[in-house]
Amino acid sequence: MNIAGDVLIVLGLAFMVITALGLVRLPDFFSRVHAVSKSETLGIALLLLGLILHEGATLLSLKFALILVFVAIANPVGAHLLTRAALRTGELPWRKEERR
Amino acid sequence: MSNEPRQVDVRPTKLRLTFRWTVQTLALFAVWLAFSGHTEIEFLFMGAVAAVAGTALTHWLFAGDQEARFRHKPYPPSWFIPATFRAILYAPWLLWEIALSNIHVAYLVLHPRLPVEPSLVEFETSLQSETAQVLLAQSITLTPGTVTVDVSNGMFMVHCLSAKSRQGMEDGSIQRKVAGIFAEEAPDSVQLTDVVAVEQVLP
Repeated sequence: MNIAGDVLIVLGLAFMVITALGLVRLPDFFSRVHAVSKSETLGIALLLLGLILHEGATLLSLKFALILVFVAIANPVGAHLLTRAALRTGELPWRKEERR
Repeated sequence: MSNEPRQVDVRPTKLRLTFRWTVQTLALFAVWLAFSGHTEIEFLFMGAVAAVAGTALTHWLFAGDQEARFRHKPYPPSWFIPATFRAILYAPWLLWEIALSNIHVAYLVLHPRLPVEPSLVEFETSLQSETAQVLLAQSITLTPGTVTVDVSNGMFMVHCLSAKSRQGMEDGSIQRKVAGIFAEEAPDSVQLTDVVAVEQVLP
């Protein structure tokens, strides 16, 4: 059980590192939002699942599960609001043909 | 772009509003209980006050004059039970899609040549109810390489990170799943329009 939890935590951290890498590597604002809203959701989900496995069936695990639900709801909403705000202020996505 | 408002101007009844308040307050109170873990009377009282205040705040913020109206004919109470079951069945599929989308984005980010092909597309959904549209928007954001940018009057604007994710948008599989939950008509495929100029998005 503990080993499974450790594996999940390490996987979660790996996805968070990929998120950070994506923020640096991707070409524009919109694609960076992709990295944050996706890899980060799975990163936190795996991390919390790992902690739940370590903790067992306690109240603390229930709290972790609730955090998981709230992050899963808040992340796409945040991504949606950020991209909409960017678009409304005239930011257009980078396209491959332009070759900046 | 069709801008015909899809409004069915029905105000929620007193009963429906009371039901909403009750459900939301109870849910907030349950969350309070889970997070505090105390059952002494003073803590329960504080939780109850906070739950009512939270409900009042959301209604004050989001259920203003306009939002209190249904844009879609309200569902009958008998509709909720089968719909809840279908929504529960939808969750594992969505979780699987989330995992896939993460792996796809991670692959794109880690690939040495960064094979992204971003595009901004627009399409009209066949889903009528606003709840269904919200669920569709959220699901699109969570699935492979797509983020919902804007939704209004049934027009969805979606940013796709790669050609593969764009194709996933085109076949309309998410729309079919969501339509299944809400027992609505689903399209066979989706007509995507590219958005390339600022004039297309600004009013």
